[in-house]
Amino acid sequence: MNTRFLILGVNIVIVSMLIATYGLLTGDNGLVGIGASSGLVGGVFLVLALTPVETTLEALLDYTSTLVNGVTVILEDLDLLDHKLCVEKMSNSLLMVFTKNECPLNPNPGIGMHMGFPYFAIPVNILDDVVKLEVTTEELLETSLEDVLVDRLGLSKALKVEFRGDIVAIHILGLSKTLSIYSKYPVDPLTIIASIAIARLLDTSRLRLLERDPSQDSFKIVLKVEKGA
Amino acid sequence: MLRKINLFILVYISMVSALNLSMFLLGENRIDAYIATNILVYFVSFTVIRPVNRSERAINALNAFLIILFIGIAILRAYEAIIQR
Repeated sequence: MNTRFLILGVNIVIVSMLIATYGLLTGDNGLVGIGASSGLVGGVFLVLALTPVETTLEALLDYTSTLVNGVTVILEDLDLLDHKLCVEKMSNSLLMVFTKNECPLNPNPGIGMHMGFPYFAIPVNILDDVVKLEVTTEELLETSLEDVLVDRLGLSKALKVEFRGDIVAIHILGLSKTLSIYSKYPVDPLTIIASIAIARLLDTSRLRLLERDPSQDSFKIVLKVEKGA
Repeated sequence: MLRKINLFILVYISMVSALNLSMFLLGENRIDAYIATNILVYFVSFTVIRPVNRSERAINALNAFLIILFIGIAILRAYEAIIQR
């Protein structure tokens, strides 16, 4: 709870009640209107006092920057900056695999080797409440993804999904300014979160990132879906 | 650069103060006019600046309450206009 807003809100409500009361006593409806309007402002402050504000977000951004830098250095050492991203479904979690070669079968979390090439796999536990779609149509996939990425997480203002065969193309429009600074990194939150969301919604055994195209205010991600047994 | 929440407060209060003062000086006596313009200013400021995530329950409840209040005021005014005919 934000105490500053709470105290401010309460004070504004009290003052507005006094103004409205004075207006009623003197028969001046204009003053009553101003009192009522000010009371509304106080009410807005009281509600804002109950909602989390950006301070927490700023701390998380600092933490995220540190982790992104750390992962980028590891990818650089493994010569994986120009990598392919795969999302593998394990027994009860998802694994994000950065590799230059084909997606490894049954990778282990951490650094490993597959056919002579190194890979870096990170276990992912986010969005585990996202439910698999019963029917996979383009419209339903777009609505569900919008629900997660736009309405819930606020990553962007809108998005468009094209789903043909086993290729999913996501056009993300109106990037959140907070996240757009990470779009230039090889490991960016938008690609990862969007890929995980698609993996959860389609319940695929493997998802492969084919294309990633960030620009000023939008982002395009193309993924290939592979369903397993 | 102001944080979004501070920018929203600055814009919202400035606009509400300017509108209320103007209406008072013009001799506006209808209480609902002050409330309705305040609600409009709130929604314009909130939509443009988006100080908080719109999925917050308290914000959704406030928005719903203000919309219902605004619709109520509009219906009341429309009813009075029809009755006066």
